[in-house]
Amino acid sequence: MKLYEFQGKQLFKQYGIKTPQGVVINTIKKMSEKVMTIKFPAMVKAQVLAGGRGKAGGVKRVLNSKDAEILTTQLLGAELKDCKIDAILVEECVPFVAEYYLSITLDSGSRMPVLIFSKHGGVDIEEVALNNPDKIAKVIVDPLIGLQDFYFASLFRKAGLVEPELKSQITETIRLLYALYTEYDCMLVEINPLMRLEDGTIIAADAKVEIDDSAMYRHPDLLQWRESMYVNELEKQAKAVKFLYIDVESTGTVGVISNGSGMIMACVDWISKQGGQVACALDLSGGATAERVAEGIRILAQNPSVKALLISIFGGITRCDEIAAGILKAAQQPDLCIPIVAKLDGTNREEGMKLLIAANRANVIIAHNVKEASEKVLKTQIND
Amino acid sequence: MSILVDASTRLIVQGITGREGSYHTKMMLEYGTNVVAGVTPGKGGQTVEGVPVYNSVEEAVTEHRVNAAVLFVPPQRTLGAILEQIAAGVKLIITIAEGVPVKDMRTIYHINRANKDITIVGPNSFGVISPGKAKAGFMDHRIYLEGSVGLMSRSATNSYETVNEMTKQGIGQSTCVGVGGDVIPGTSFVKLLPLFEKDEQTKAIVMIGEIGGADEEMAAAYIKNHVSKPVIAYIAGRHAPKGKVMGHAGAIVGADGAGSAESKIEILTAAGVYIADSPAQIVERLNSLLKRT
Repeated sequence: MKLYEFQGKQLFKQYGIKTPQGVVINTIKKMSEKVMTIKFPAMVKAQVLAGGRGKAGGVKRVLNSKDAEILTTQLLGAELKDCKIDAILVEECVPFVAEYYLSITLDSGSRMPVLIFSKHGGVDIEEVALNNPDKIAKVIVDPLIGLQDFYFASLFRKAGLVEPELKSQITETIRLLYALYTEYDCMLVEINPLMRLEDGTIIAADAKVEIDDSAMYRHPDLLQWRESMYVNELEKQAKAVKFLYIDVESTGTVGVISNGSGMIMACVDWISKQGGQVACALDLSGGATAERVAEGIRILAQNPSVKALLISIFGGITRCDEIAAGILKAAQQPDLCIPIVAKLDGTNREEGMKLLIAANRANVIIAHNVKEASEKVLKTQIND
Repeated sequence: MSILVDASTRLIVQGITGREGSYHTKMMLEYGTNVVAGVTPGKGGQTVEGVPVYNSVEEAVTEHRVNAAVLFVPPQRTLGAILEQIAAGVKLIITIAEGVPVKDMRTIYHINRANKDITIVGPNSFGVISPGKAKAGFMDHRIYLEGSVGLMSRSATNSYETVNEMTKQGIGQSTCVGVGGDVIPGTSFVKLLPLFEKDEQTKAIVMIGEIGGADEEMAAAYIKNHVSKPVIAYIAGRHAPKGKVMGHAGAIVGADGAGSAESKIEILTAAGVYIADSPAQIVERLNSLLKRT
């Protein structure tokens, strides 16, 4: 689960990492009272999970409370980079002398946490990474050894950080952030920019925190945040019946249903290879019943971009006769106006195929492998 | 021969009294696997399908000569269960659960790094099967056929699809391993390659990977220098949109293209690996390879 900036900053504060004074505004009702508590100039920051929000106009500097309120009113409820803005963070501007970059994530090769630090933080960090990768220092920390001093020495040597006072302050910030990273099952913690103020204070001007979804049960304090997160309507419906809904391409026209993410990827690959595009996919996982399959079809069919469905199953725990019954149940609904191409294999394949053949429905097309299924699903669209 | 599990496997099932645990114990016994004991705290003294149940792994290991374990325990209890197996001295631990926290697997991975004689397969895995000999996991064993192809896969559905096609055409398997789709698998491709290379029954190796992570890249480096047997790879997710998790926690590609299908395919090709674009093409290639030898 990705956290909003204001939520990430709340965790930072909990761990003793300094952040600018700010207020979160969810509704314009008590906006004025809240904005009054802030010193100006201030930053008005739209809380969305997409990157590059500053360049998209979601972060602006304002000189007084009136401007802050006007801008907040404009942004609240608007869309930024395909995300609806449900909250605004109004935060005091801090006079900084330097902007750094700091993050901790998992190194996929060594499976160890990696500390990433650069003296050249700020909005252009991606450019620095691309053109001057040596300006970004990385140190992998062996979790069996722990965050020892020699790791910091190595990180600062690579980053070209020499000032003793500054080094000790950054060390302290990294220790706090590492504790948060470990204790809250984080996949990523990132501060960009990490600011140094005139008086030498180190302060987190932004916060990107991502928590491992599988570990959410250990963090009941975060559950209320998860409930308030904005999610796509179809994602919500799928989740309610324990399916995973994935938006794939906004220009896609095919919906894919399968009983595993590997198979979904295989279907996306074949459809793309034949010049088509997948709009969205649904992972049924193992053991779906006819009822639930029909429900899954109903969910994907609601996506207006979807002009045809491809259902590819390899049954282990999942039984093909249940899948076939579910397909027929959905196909009989008068409001389902898109064709379904089905490829069934594995447990009870024969029974499933028999059901589909016996039903002999024009809107249910049988295929024998993924390649044939992708061809057929694209062909249904040409005929339209 | 074959790898990891075979006729000499003496398996314990942790979580044997649960719904999945008891059902798959029955299936594993039916397949001829030697399931010697089960473990469920508080259920010691019972039997499941004739298999004695113990309160702890330690008791089961004291009473039986155990050399492998399969875990049917929920993801929240997987860390503790694996550690209990390690403490009791079990050297092959196969874990099925989906949704184990990354930090828990990180702990296990690094304990394993310091104790190299232990092999941990999974989590988020269908298990391990050596057709005709034994299985530890939940795969539908009817699709498998004993033979000479070693298979390892991050995705269960894509491996079933491939095995089914192989078996239909009379190409059997030595051992099939579900590496699992998690961010940190206990065993990745690179740890299995030396086992398949050494195994006399295995004549060719099939690797089913997907986007994300660096496991295919590490496998490529190993294959280049140490593997003499032909390797065929299939990488799912070539056309997955960048920066999107496709369901498997591991299948995510960064904006820099590291971990993308293109980069994996390029590196594997350079290491002499044949790249198939579908399970059907894997089988086509195997047909021509195995007929020549």
